[in-house]
Amino acid sequence: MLPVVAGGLTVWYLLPVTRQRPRKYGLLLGLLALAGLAGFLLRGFGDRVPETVESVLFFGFSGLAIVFAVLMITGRNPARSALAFALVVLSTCGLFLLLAAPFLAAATVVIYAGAIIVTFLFVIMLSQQEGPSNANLRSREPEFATAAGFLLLATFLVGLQRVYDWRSVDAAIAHASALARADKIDPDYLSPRSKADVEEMKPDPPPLTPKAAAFVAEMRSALDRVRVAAPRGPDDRRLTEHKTVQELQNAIDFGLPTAFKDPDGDGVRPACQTISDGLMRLKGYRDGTNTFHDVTLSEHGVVKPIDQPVNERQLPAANVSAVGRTLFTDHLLAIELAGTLLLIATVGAIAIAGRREVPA
Amino acid sequence: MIPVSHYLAVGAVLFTLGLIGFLSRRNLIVMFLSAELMLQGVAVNFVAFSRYHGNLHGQVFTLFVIAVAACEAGVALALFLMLYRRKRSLDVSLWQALRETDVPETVDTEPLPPVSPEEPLPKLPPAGVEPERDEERQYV
Amino acid sequence: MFDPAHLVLYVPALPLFGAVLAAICGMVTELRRFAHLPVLVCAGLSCVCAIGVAAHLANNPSPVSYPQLSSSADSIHWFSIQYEKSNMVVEFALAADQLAGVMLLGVTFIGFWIVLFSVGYMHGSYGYSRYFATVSLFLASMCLIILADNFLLMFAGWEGVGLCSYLLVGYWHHKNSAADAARKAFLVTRLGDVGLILGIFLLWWMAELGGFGYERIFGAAPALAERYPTMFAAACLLIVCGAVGKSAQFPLYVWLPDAMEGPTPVSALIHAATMVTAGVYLLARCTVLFVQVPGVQLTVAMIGAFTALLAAFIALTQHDLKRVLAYSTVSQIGYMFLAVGCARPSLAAIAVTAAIFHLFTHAFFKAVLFLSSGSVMHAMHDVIDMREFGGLRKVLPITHWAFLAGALALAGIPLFSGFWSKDMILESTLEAGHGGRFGTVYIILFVVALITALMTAFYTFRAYFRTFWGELRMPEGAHPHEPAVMTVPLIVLGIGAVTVGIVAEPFTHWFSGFITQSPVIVTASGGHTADEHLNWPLILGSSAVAIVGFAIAWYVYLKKPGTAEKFAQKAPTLYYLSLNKLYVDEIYNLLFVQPATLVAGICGLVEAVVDDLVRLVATIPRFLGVLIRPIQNGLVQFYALAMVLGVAGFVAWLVLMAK
Repeated sequence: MLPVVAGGLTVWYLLPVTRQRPRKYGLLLGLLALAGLAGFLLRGFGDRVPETVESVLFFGFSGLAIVFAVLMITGRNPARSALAFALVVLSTCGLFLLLAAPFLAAATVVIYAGAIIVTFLFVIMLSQQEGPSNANLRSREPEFATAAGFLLLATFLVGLQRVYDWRSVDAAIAHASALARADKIDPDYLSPRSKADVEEMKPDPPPLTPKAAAFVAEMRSALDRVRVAAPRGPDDRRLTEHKTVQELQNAIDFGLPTAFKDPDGDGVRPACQTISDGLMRLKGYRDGTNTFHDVTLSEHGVVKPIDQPVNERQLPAANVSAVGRTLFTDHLLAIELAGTLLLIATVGAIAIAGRREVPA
Repeated sequence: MIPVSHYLAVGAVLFTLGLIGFLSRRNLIVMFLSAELMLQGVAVNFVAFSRYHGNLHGQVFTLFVIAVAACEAGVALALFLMLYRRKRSLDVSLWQALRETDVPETVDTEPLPPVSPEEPLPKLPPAGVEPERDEERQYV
Repeated sequence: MFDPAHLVLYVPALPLFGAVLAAICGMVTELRRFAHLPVLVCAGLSCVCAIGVAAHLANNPSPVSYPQLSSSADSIHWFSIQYEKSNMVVEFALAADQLAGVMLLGVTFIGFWIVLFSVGYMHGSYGYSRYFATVSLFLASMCLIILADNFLLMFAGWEGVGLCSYLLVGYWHHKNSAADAARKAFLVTRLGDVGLILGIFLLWWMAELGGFGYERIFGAAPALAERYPTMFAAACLLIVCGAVGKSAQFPLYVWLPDAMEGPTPVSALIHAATMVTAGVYLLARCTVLFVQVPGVQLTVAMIGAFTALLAAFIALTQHDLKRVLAYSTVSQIGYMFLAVGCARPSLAAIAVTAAIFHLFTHAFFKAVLFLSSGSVMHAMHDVIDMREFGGLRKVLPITHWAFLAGALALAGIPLFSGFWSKDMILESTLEAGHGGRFGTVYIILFVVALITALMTAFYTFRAYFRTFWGELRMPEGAHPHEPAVMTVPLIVLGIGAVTVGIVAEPFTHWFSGFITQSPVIVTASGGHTADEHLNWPLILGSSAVAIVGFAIAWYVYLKKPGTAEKFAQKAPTLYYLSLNKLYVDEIYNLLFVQPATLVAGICGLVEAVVDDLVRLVATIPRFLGVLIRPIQNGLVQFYALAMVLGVAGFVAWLVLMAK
């Protein structure tokens, strides 16, 4: 929440209003917000500090992009805003480079920061004939706009966190492994039957103890998180994963409770081992550290091998030719349409902006 | 490597900033630039997904985004020029005639800060002519 | 074409046709001044037809009916309702017997002269054609009442005269008092009409649901009276109720004095000669029914006598000449009710004859009195308060003589027409007192009638002396003139008032001979014949009473002109009771009008509440609209902001609600 709040305050503070606000406070708040965002990214998704160079570049480019974006939307001079936008584009292109899209980076710089910004500057020049307008000094509903925007941002970030946060799954795995390796089962987990019950042959087993019930619930939620985190399409059933999920389901729903109800607690360790292994495997599938040398079922029920090794997950180095090939094989119709659209937009722009008789 | 969630977060932040700029700035140019900023954020998202799924569909889509943004920029700027010709200003608040008939027009009520008068640039006399001297001042 | 059956049809049809023509004249602006012509012509022709019918009846005693029925298939079908047990068929059938013939003569003759008088009286007033059309329609409806052969058709005419009375009393509708008076007349007679229609339906039900024809019901009357004694009596009482309403008897007489707001010819026609006598006519025609129930007859007689006394008492002190005449009408019709109420099988002929004879003569002399008061009013520029003028015999000679003729007849001065008819009534009352169950009551009613005769003479001549004798005083703006079109009817009716009585009855018995041939009376008499003789003690007694009344009036108003005021001061209670009409109007107001107004007010409140609720519901959408409208203020960024807020909310909900 900190970055969101701080960011919100910053932007609101910096948005142009008629009263002169000293900008140094905005600067401080902004730094605070950026730091908060960095912290969120570092800590909010679990302790995953990646390699140094890449992370420096990532944080650098992202920070620059955000700073220039704020400058753009809070600048009073539209020309300065245009320049700030150009710098934002440059920063995002840096990010594109990090994401193995060099062609896209170059194309964005050329088209955006080249053509579009220059057009903007021309329009600004043409529209400054009346002098600087005081519209630049005011904002429309800065409070509401900022609030709405940052509300949206908060929901985005919360969603991201929910999807990509493995900390609860990690905790569940650790818990299960601990229980699997323990020498002695904690008697709190077991709900033994008294002698009286055994002799009377009561059909209903006694209920689970609260600790055992909480443990089972934790396992179950971890399974849900891992399973649902990356929803799959119907024509892509990976048998191994499917089997793993089924195993885990059985273990959690039947194996564990039965084991807990057994007075000796013998079945607890194997069950926990199964659970912890299964969860780790699924998590691996999800975040890409695990490999699928596997088969899959197509929609007609035919078993076929998975052709692309997913653990590689690397884009081809010859980016331009790969992009071109994809463009003109998979997306041919789209590119033709885009070309037509460009043509029509050009014609339209010329038609709209052409000099015509102003009606008296 | 950096997990995809980080890139998505950055994309979300850029998108949000663009949204706020679109909603609150009154200059048509800046509004449009904020829209472009939103598109940039979305492009970051797409390319990140492309990287993490290992195919190029995201990048292709980003290419289309750029193409459409270019068209949009062209048409929008032409429209801005037309609007400017009508009202001699790029303020979007001037265009509020499409409102309900008994809703009053929204006008600015806050007074502008006093504009400090610009110091006039010193005017130089044409070359070769001695400037006028001010008698009281001491010229060192 | 001119056979008696068709003549019977023409009598009501011609005035109806005249009404339509007058209405058409009214729609065309140029013809409005001539709207009286069709009406006059049609009234005259109708009179001629009536004379024809009567002449025919004098020669052939059997009643004439239209349409002539050779078989029942020829009857003109009006409407019918068929349901489970019976088939109610109402036909349009007219029948004229001697009773009807006499009435027709009176109505059409007097109607014609009054229309002629109206031409002069209403000259130049606005709504000229409306007046004549309504008068003609009134004549048509009255003839329909007289000639109808079944109860429902008679009721149709009954309602028609009520309607025309409303239209004519409220003729000057922009005057609030006139509009109120018209409404009062209609509503009060309405009360009576409700009773009448209930009585009619009771009779129909008792007579095995077979139709409303007079012959059928009268034929079944004795059997019905035996089978359903109480219901029969109730039906007869309800019919009396209707007659009481239309003929302005107690307690439904309050509309008649107020109805003087209409033009004077209207008062003459409707409220002296024709409409108010419809009730008496109805009772006379239903004599067959009434002789079966002597108790109801007694009620009728008591109502009549009481009303006569009451109205005469009030008339003693009224200042408005037309009011005096109005109360006098009420009083004289009370006499007619008294006469009708004396009908017993042995007495039916003479009682009914007395009533109809008095009706006939009353029509003449009351019409002439009203018309001459109209002439006075016209000359005095619409002032009719007797305190404003006096000694008019010098300037309005013909009116004076006409009024005198009518006054002599009304007061019952010997040898004038009113004397003979009133005498017949007193005689029948006396005869009814001699036998039967209620003999003593009838004797009491006889005494009441005598006292009323005294009072009648007094107030009549009071009015006469105050108007035409004394010093000549006229209000401002008066221009005494007597146009010919007004004087001729006066003269004709005045002669009628004087002579009709002595000619028709006491020595020649033309009238009673004619009427008693009517099948109604024949049936009611049940075979008894009336022994006709002149009761000399009674004649002398009633003449003495009348002359005493005349003398008192002469003394009080002419010889010693201050006597009336002194008497009034000595007996202030009586004076004010009489002057203020015994406060009956005020009592009715308190008893009926105020509660009804209260209920109407409450209903109005409830309706206002409901209305307000509905309006409240109707204002809710508008209110919501007013709340929501400012959202559309034309600013693009505001709209975008709203969208973003919505999207943000939605996404937040999704993210937070998802697992």
